[in-house]
Amino acid sequence: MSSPLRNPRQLITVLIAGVSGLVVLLDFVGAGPAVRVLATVLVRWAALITAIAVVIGIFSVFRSHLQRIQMRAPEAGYSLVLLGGMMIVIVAGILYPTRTATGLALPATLAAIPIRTVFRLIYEPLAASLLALLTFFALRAMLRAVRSGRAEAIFVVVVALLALILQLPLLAVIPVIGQAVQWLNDYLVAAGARGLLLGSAIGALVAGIRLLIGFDMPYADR
Amino acid sequence: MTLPAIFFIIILVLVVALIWLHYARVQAGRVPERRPLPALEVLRAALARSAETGRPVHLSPGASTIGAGEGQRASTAELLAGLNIIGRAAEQAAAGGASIVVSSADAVAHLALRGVVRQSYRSFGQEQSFDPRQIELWAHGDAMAYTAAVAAIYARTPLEASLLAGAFAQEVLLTAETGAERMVPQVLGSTHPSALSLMAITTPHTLIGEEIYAAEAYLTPTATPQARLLTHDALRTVVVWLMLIAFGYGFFRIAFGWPALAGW
Repeated sequence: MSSPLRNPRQLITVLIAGVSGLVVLLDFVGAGPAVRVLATVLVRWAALITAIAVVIGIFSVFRSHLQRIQMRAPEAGYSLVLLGGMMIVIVAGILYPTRTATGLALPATLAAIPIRTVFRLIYEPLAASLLALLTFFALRAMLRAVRSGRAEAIFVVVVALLALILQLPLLAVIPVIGQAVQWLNDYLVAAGARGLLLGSAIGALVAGIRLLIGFDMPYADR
Repeated sequence: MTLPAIFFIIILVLVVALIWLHYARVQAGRVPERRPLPALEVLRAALARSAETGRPVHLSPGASTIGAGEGQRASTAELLAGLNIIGRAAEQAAAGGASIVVSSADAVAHLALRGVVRQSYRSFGQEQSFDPRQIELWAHGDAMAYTAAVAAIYARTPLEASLLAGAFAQEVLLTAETGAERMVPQVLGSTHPSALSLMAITTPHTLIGEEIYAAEAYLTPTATPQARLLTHDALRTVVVWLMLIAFGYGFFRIAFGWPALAGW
């Protein structure tokens, strides 16, 4: 990695990223009203940049799938469906007029009826179907794990089955079992989850600070 | 300035000092031994094979997004970890002539990935081999849609291997089980406990929790990632010692009549 100190353009990029991140962090811990004002401006700019990135992403997706259709690629049909769905959502969300007290008006928010209807009739059933499939995927994964003979996989499956069985109403009301499960949840499970979270939190802390001080520069062209 | 802000600045200065200290230590050649991460050896081997077979390796920072949406858990840190891993994997791909396909579930991550992968190819003088069409945006802000897209790619494109390391929840099962059924070697990593248990039963190659932050150091010998890993280990040691001291204090305080710590 070349040092930012030797590259003025990189140094400016690092300073902008570092100072911006530091200001927002200081506002998060309550550094005062002046910092809050600056942080609010920066967060609004970030939201704006994110929105622009989404628009760029939309154009990128549109272009790549249009190319597949034009080249009559093997899965051009899926690309056609994707582009059709994209146009339906864009038209319903932005261009489909709705009746208001003063006449027809374009949708003002994503809570408008046309886009909500599209989501209710198309997206929600699809999402629910995929989520429902997860049950069968889980069953198949468990069977595959047991057949594979891997110790950690079998252990996970056995613990999952025990957890399911012990939560059956008939068993959960038995005092010893109920208390034992509660103890396991309060101590063993919580300890494991907290250990995982601690490690991840420290990793996130180090990753964030390295961004602030310019050790990592995913935004720079170096 | 409030007390939490002052405390935060002190911690920030200490962590920055630790990072610089470990960077100097690595530059001086003092890198301790560390335990192996077999999952990353699978990724390295797949990248090497890809150069011969021509089958691409799929790389993904997971369904990570910048910032937290309403009701969502923030996954920016996992995204950064995924970007680092993909950057190093792309370097290996550029050096060895392997083929990669990079996907993401966030528009900002998509743009960051394009920059990171291009930089990786440029660092090995292979910028002419970089094709922006290698980096694809398959969904935005919808983890379920993204995992469905990955599962579809498993079904359509013969892959040498697939790396998904970042923010995942239960929906990863859709992808992982499809990959297991099609015998795609998968390296899966997440910090979410529910995703990890599903990953453990679908693939033998997992990166558990903080291992996704450590992975970059295993993929390259350069000083910066090694320093990150050492800093991570040092901070973890500090936290463990603090917990042990607090436990010991709590254990003896009743016997000796010591006051309770704040927050107890």
